[in-house]
Amino acid sequence: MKRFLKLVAIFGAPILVFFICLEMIVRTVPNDYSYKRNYIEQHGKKIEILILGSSHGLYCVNPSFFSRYTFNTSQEYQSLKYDKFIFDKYKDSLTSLRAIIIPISYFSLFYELEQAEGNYRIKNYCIYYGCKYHLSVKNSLEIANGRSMLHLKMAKKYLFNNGDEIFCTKSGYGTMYQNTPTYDVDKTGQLAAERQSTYPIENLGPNLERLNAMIEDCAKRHVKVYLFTPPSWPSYTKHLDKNRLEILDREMKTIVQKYPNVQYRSFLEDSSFVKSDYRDSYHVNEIGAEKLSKMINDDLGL
Amino acid sequence: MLFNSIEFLIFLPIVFFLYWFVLNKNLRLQNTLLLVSSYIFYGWWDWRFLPMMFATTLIDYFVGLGLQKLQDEKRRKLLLGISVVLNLGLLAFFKYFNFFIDSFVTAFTLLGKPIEITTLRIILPVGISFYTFQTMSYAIDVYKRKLEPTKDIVSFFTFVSFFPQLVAGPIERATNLLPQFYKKRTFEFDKAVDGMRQMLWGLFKKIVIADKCAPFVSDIFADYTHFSGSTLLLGAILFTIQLYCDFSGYSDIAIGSARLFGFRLMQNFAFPFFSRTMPELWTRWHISLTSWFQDYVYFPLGGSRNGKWKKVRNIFIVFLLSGLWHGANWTYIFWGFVFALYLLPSLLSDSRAVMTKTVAEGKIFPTFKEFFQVLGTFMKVVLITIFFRVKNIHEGFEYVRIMFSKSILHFPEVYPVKTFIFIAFFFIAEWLQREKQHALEIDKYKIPKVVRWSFYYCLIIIIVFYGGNQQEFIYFQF
Repeated sequence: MKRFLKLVAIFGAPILVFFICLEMIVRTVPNDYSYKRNYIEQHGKKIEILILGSSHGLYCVNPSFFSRYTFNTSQEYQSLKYDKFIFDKYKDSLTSLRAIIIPISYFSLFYELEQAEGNYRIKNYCIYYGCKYHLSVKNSLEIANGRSMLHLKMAKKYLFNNGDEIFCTKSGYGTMYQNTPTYDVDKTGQLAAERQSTYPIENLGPNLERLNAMIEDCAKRHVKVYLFTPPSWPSYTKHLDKNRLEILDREMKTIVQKYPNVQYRSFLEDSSFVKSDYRDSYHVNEIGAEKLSKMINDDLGL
Repeated sequence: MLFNSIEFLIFLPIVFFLYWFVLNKNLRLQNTLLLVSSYIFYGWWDWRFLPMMFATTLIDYFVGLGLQKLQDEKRRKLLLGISVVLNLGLLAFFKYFNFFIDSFVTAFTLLGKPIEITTLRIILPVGISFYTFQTMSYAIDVYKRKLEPTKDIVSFFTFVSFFPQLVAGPIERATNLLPQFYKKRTFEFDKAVDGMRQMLWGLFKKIVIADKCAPFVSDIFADYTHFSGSTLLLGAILFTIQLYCDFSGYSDIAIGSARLFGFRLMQNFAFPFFSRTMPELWTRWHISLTSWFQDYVYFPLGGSRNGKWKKVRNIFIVFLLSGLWHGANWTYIFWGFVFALYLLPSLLSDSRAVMTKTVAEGKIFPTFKEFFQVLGTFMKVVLITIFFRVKNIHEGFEYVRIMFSKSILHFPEVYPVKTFIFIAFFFIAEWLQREKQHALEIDKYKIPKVVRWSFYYCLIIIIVFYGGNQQEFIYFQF
């Protein structure tokens, strides 16, 4: 037995040391999550408009086009559950807050990060925001989520070129799209619409609860809530589930009627967005984001 | 808990340490530790199904004792019937309820009398098909007086829930596994090291081959109407390799980790891709299930004793049931049916086509004849495995139709080069080791330590840095 343990220890030691070092380095590399957390913690008092949401918040709303001090905390795949988590965590420190902006996309009310393909991102909320929703070994370690080759590249880039993993502007607007190709907007719609139509309808209740709770909290703090459905290209919208669209429309109307501090606008089929405004059929590019951000800023009238 | 997860990487050494260092002097405590660990392992996925596994185990425990006590054959039969009905009833409810309802509704609709019955939203408890078959075999063996029922409740519960093989087999027989819980286990260095090697190979097959193939397979099958025939053929081949590596990878990890605790589980796969005939394939693929059906369905039906046609009938019954065991979908039943058809020529010709010897035994290269026999068998498997992946039979035929269109001569739109390299390495390793229990069964006296360790480190590097995204084991859904 001792011989076996000795063998395992000698064989495993280099592997263990390697992974401990890799984990430590990867955690040190600045990324979008650590950057945004640090930003809110350092500049929270100045923030007047806070943008939450998924990729529709990250890439479609650019704080640079707002007349007030705005910061974008959205992340790819971020669900309403994590919007609420971030809002709850920092709401008391956001003393100048006047409005929050939340994209309510076609799928948002039915979507949970936990059930999505990108659910490995849960660990980012655990590691960088101290979220305890799904605290586990897997969600406490960067290296426990696969993607080891990526981690190795990150570590190399950081150690030899002092490179980071921040893909957003100073105000949190996503820049990843600037380095990736534009898709054919006529071809990318159907698959995405079909995929997003499969999110469980049972998630509607919990998501509405989260949204209502945030709105009520904002009302108490005299903070406006701006909800919007982002613009999309017909190749996407024509494949959306009518029933789900009706639910979205109905729930938004109910919320607007119920809460005076809420403004809602659907840009889903807004004709002011043309083909060249899109990066793919359901995300606008930088040009579209500028247009959309200016429209939201005007709507807010702050 | 998944074998390919960080949780298991922590769980296994903890159990191992407690088992050999803390409780090593008390067999009952060691078994209790395995039992508790197994329930934790299972509950990690969904603790709500633990009471069900507990209840079915308890019932079969008492059924075993009852069968020993009762002398009257009618009452014994009744008791066995209760056990079988309960086990199959649970399986039928969780796995087949919606399938039967859907099929019922479709049948009435086809007859021009549409009816409306709502199906239920049922979560399939992982591993139910495996542990149900294991407990059933215990009750049947006790009924047939092939096995003394156990009075040791801890051993019996551990036998049913033993974590290495709980959720995806091998489906162990009580006659093999249960007695191992009664005897004091001693740690054997060579067996433990071999177990580690087998686990490493299992992880390689699962994480590097199966999980690497998975995204390509998903893309091709999801959008098969838009791909050329050659791409569909490639998709079918990749899926067959994925299925084998996923499942046999699980079995390797299961057998390897059981060895660390001093247990010997049965071999579940014996290099089936190197089979020359279909009957040979079935002696090498999912051996624990095949032999289960052979012992508890085929032989009781009469096996090959009552003439050729009865034999054919029995084979068809076994394969249709085997298909149904895999899942509640007509595609699986069709899959079983075609496999039975594949076996028909050898059944009718009465040829003893089951080859017991490994292909090209003792040689490096096969003869041309052997090569084409192996290739032919592999391609037959590829063709029918398409039905294992598609949503319905119509889609399967459509897939096959497009696959055999003129576009089969085009260059495939998808060609994952890195994955091909790993697959080639996998095939070479399995071919060279095909006469062993697993591909990493290495004679340490023949290969220097430096070479062996370098090879293991290379495998670990490939697993860590080139493995695919973590996927659940395919057989969990069965």
